[in-house]
Amino acid sequence: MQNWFKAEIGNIKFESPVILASGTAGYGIELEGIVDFTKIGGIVTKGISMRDRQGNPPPRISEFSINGTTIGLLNSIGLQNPGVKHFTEKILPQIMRLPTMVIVNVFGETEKEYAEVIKFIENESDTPPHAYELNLSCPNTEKGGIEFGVNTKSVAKIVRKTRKVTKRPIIVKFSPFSEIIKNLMKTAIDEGADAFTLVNSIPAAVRDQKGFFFKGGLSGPVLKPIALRCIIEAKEKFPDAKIIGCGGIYSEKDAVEFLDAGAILIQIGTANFLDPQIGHRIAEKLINYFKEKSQR
Amino acid sequence: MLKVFETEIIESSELSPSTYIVKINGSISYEPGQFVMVSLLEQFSILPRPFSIFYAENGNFSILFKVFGGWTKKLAESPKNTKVRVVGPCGTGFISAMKRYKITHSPSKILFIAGGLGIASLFSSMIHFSKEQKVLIFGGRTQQDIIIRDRIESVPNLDVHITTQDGSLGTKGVVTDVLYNIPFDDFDIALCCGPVPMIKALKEFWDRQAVKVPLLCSMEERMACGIGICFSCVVKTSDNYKLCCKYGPVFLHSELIL
Repeated sequence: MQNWFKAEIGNIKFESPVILASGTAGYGIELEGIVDFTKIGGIVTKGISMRDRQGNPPPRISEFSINGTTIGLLNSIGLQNPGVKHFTEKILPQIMRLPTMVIVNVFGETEKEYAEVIKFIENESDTPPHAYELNLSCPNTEKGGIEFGVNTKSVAKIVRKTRKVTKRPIIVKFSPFSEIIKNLMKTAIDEGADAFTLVNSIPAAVRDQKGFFFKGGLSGPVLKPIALRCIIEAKEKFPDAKIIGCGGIYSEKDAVEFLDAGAILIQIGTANFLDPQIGHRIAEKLINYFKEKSQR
Repeated sequence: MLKVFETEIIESSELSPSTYIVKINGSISYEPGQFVMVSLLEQFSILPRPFSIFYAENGNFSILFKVFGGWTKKLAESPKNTKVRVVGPCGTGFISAMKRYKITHSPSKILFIAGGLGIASLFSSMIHFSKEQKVLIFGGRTQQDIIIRDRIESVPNLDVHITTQDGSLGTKGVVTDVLYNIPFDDFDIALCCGPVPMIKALKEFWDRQAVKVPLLCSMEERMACGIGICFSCVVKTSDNYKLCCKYGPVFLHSELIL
């Protein structure tokens, strides 16, 4: 039991500020034996939809470099997942054995699919997750995702419908468009969203060595200043909003910047690929930050 | 068992222009065909890089690679004691794949087909099956691609056929040219590793000639994590996309859609 950190979203309590971001930690179970989950506040699963999705054809990643130094990663996975039925029956019970908070990331091709996925889990699961994260920001699908996450009416409908089917916390994950986020947050809060993950990867393209354009969501160090701006502005407009900061966090120093900008929790994303243990390493290093903060 | 550890480079040696062997401190319990993800601690890169485990002995292991960009150049030029992070061993190697596909565990005669750097993955398999009869077909564009010849010659019970596209060493041509002379009935299994076009040509040969010997192919795809958490490195199979880093890198030729 740790006592250096506490944060709450709805009725769930986090005992570490570090969460592993959706799409960068599989279903968590792949990391058993590698990651010390007792030091991790939570894990967000890969996005789950009603039906199974094959995802996009390879290549699914490309790097963004300047003068030989890579500063960003583009991905276009396309939300490959086995569908909510298989997930609920076969995978979720295994994830729920991990000693950490489990947040299921939910995706829909239609506005009502988000609520259908959550309703299925709520009705069918003997081991339901602790919270849900709505992916309103995937840049790699033809339907859904970012298409809904920039539209006030869609955000309103999706949050309203999902709020009706679960009492568990609903976290909304937005794309890094700071001007749009501010308006959409108001809508999401009015409809009952409990918290926000700011931000998802940003739609981008790079030209590869063979001359082809690769389109995907850009993440990594290059996303950090964009994410910080979104959090700062969101916090200025909604001081009470609970924000989970995400975007290019690679170190304790990065994490502290997000926390000082107003995030109550942080998510580690692309950095998990470089070092799958980075989450618990950063959490260990943040203990001093929180101890000092509590003495201020 | 998969582990994450920080360690240091023992030595880097140049095998041929732009091809290097880097020896890394640390014992690793692996099976042939598995790989490690390596990152340099003092040189930021957004992703670690995958390398077949070439050889392991006395508490260290080696990777074999070609320099093809700034990062691999830095790795090749790394002095002794350069700090690295290693994640591994990753993936399903040849032995586990044989089990998965219900292929005999104790083959008596094995065919190996390597293209260029693909020899890195197959070399440890040849050592693993040192007592068994083996034939290696090793192809490259030029004789410079036919690396570690001295080490290959020291593998017991091994007949070697070399092909080069320019004819600078061995038979002029590609590995499939030699396959027409192979008495497949004598073999229990074939293992291959090399560029995707080579594996595609082998698969086509197997289908066209109705070869019954199971062919295990070690595949390559752009990889981010190496441990199944990012879903980047998919390979198309008859049963949808499968992760190269977890289900693979070893696949049965008949399930691959290339």
